[in-house]
Amino acid sequence: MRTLEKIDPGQLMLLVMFTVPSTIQLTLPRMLAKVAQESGWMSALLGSVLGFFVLALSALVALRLPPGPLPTALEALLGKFWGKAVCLFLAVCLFSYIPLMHRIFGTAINVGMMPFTPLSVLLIIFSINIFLLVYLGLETIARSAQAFFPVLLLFFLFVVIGALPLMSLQRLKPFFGNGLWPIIQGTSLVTPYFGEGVIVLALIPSLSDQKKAWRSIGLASFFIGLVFTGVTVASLAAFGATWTASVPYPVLRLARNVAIGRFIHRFEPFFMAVWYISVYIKTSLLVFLTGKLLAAVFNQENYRLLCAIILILAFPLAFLPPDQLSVFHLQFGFAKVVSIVVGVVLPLVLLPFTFKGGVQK
Amino acid sequence: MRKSLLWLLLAVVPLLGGCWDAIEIENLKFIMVMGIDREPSGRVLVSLHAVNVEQLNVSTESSSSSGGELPYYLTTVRGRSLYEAFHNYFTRKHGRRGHFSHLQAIILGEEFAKDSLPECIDWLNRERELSVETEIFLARGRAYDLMKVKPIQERVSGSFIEGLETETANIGFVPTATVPILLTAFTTPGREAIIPLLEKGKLDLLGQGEKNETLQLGGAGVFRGSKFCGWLTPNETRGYLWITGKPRDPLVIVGMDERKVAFDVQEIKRKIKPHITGNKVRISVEMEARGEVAEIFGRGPHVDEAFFKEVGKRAADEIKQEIKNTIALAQRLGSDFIGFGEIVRGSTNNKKWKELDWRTQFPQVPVEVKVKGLVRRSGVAVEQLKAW
Repeated sequence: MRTLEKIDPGQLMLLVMFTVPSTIQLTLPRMLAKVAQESGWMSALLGSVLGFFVLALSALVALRLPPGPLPTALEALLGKFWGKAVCLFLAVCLFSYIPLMHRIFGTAINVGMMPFTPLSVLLIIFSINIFLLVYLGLETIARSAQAFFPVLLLFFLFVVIGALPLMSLQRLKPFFGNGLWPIIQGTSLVTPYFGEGVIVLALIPSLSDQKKAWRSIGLASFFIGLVFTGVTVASLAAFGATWTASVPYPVLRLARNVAIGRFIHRFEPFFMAVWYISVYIKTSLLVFLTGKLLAAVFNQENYRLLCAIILILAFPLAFLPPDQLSVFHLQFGFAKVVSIVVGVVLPLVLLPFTFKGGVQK
Repeated sequence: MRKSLLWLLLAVVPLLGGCWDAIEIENLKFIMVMGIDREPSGRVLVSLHAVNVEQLNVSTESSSSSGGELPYYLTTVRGRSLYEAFHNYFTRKHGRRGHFSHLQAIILGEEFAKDSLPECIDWLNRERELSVETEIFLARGRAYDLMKVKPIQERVSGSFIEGLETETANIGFVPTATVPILLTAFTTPGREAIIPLLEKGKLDLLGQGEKNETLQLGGAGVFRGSKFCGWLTPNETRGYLWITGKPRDPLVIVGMDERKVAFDVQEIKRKIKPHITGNKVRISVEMEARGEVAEIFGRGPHVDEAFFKEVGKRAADEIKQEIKNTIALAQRLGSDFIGFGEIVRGSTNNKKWKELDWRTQFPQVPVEVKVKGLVRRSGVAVEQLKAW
């Protein structure tokens, strides 16, 4: 973290786009259908608009930090002790996502596609993949995101367009059927996750052209909102609120129901591939940033060793939730709290310092 | 670094041997058609057409010369639940796992459908291998009796039923029911399920008279909540399809004095509007059917614009009557399989929807039907040909 690898604004946008949605993307329509029924998609839309401000908060802090990598900037801003303390706190928060992402990945693959493959085998393969990417550094993670993006977009559009014949706008009615309150409640399932965009604190210093940071953040928020709203509208319009609320992964179910005539069936591997790539990039980025932050805190040069230790520690922790419902509780309870703490509270605490004593770039 | 990467890559090699949960094709028993019945004892009887792989590649001629062995065989299993019957008892008897990925039709016996449809749909919803295109049918009586009928036209029973459904749905005499369609119908407030009726028919083959048994489609069974509540005739089913969907190639026969004119409906536009006053609902259905003349049977005066206009008008009357009959039946049965309730709910809010108490109110709801028929084209010929 003491040396800066460079990424361009497009890569920043993609990294944020891959990071924010993947924790909840598969199961979000289910939760929104439970809370706001047919109006769930409005919660996704409103939540995404509010989410932009959450993301903007982290970006604002990042742009006002002193120059240099995040640990150096924080030490310059808060002093050595508090700078390291904040780094350690951020590292712990980011680390807490890693076992959860492992488990979310394993459970979705088990439930959605490969019920007989042991979870441990899935997680070992996942960890090895992540370590390979993390080993090669931030630029490689960013380039992987860039390389995978066209495929991901193509698969995503394939599923959404393929699902169009299944949809009926009638199933999205009545609009505001239960009033505004459930819709507002539903936003609490969307907005906090934009707090995961706190990674921009560490990414914006690496940005080659910082003037374009806001554009990247704005575009990333727009696309994340599009994904959240798109998958919720598609699930609700295809299945109705009751069925959507009863399926663990409505988006996978939607992909499964897509069929072109009687010729091409079952698109869930396509959507699984889209989702896998985003989970893979996100978890790699989290491991990389945690490793880098811890290396800076403990004055270590070799962050790769720390990344390996993080992955080894994450493996048993991923088995802690006893069942699938516990994973959902962690996704929509624990992860939400961590996202608020790290994406809203931490930037709010740091912001006054950047105005008071921080160096304006 | 290169060395360590090489070691890492080598370590991955053992994991690349193939799918962990791969099941070899020779260990599977493909099921093409499944029938489900409730026995008097309460147990579930599952009848299955399992693929006889050895006969699958035998040509029709050699098959008939060698005694006509079919590429499938009928087998039955019983259990306390569907999954127990299929998973435990089928596997014990066949030494292979039954596989649903090629399942083309599911036939539900009347007794089973009376109160067990939700359980069946739930099981099918959980079934990973099932295709979303698998069709579901209702049998009048036992599904097992229909499973015994050997289709004469096709060697593979599943393909026969599937083809039968596609073509009959095209002419507008049966609705389509798949697992996703039924699940949506069950869970959407204001809508009830409707399933096509499959029954035995007689077929005259090689002039033997109508001695040969075959399967035929026409009509449907409808539900009120999770309970089966009644049957629709083919014409009543078409009345339902006029309002809710577009049959691909429906034909209305119109009487024009001495002649019968076949009006081929090619385009349907419809508008269903609920009118809510207090807690009372009134519904208006407006429909326009456009099409062309497919046949003029019988002799009569010249075909002109007035003739086309009259055909359109009479076809509209015919369609209107079918729609009215279907709505009257739906109200008599208390089953809103047409889905008026879904539209009413969509135009109000959930609080009001509860106050409307749709299931109680539906049988008395006034429904106004207006149909307009328009002969847009004459078809391939304008004039009726006459001998000189």
